[in-house]
Amino acid sequence: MENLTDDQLLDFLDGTGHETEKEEIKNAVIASDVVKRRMQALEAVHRYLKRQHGLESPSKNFTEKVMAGLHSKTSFAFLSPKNGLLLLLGLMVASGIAIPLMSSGAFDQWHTFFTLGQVPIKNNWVKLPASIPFDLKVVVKLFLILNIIVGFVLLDRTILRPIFQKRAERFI
Amino acid sequence: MAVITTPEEYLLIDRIIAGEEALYATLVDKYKSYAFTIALKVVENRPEAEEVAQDGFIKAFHNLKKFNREAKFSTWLYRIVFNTAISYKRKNQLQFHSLENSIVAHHGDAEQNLEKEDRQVFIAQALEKLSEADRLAVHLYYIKEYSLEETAEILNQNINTLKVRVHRARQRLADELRKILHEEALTL
Repeated sequence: MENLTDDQLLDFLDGTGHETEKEEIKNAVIASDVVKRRMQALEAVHRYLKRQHGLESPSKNFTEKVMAGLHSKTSFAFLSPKNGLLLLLGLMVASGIAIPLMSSGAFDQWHTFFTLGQVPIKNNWVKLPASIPFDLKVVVKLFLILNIIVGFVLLDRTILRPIFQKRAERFI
Repeated sequence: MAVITTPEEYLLIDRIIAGEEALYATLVDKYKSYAFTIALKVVENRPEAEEVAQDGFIKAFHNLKKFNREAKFSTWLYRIVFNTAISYKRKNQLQFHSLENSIVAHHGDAEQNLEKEDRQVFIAQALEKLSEADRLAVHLYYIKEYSLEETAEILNQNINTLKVRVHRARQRLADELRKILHEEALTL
């Protein structure tokens, strides 16, 4: 009788065991203290779990919140606030390095001309200049402007907007 | 609330896909409790569970066209909620929610007997020691709203695996209880 497995005892508690097995278990619980104690422990757990597991109800305005949120989650789906913040920090570091370098004149001597005299275009409609000036300082300036724009977009889409959205949803 | 049959539900889904979005509220109302319960069992915090369940419903809405009607809508929806909850929990793994906030606090008032409360705390503590997969399996199994087959489908597990998990988890809880109480008489 003491050879009854815990699986059998649990099936008995779940009401899924065979009828003959149920009788056998009932008899075993009466006859053996060991089986009785095992059954009591399993039954205690079973009763505890049963008591714990009713369906929980969400807040009263749950449905309204879902309906309001159906079209509001359009911010950068691929960027979590954490990743957005990291990217923003990266942009700030890049800008932080570029600005002092530029103001110290590190890019001043980096200007040159690309000569186009050798380009084989022979027609009267396209008139190419003899050379195109290239200035690294201008490129760095453009890079900084682009950084500022991307930084603001990131700040808005991945950090500020989700925060205000959540706040607004709480008050719906 | 009026009971909606599966064909009526499919019709409702067709109308939502066709543009009558307001009808989605009917589905949300019908399934919100179970969805919220699943989310709560995973994230173990009511405000977060509410957020997760809402996200799950929103994801389901945006993917409604992909629902192929091989499974029940509810099973498909709960699987989305469950996956959303798991991802949420992984992202917030470092956040620790004390036992008092989850299990004991909800039921502490109801119990008069201190000794019984102690034993419940022992089981609750033992429950916390189980692996996440085992704990979730037990939680969903005991909600009893869905069959073992459907619960297995929601959890994306084989039915036998789920059954073994539930049995094994309860055995561990009982062992833990026996250990703690030195096999004294159990009268929960």
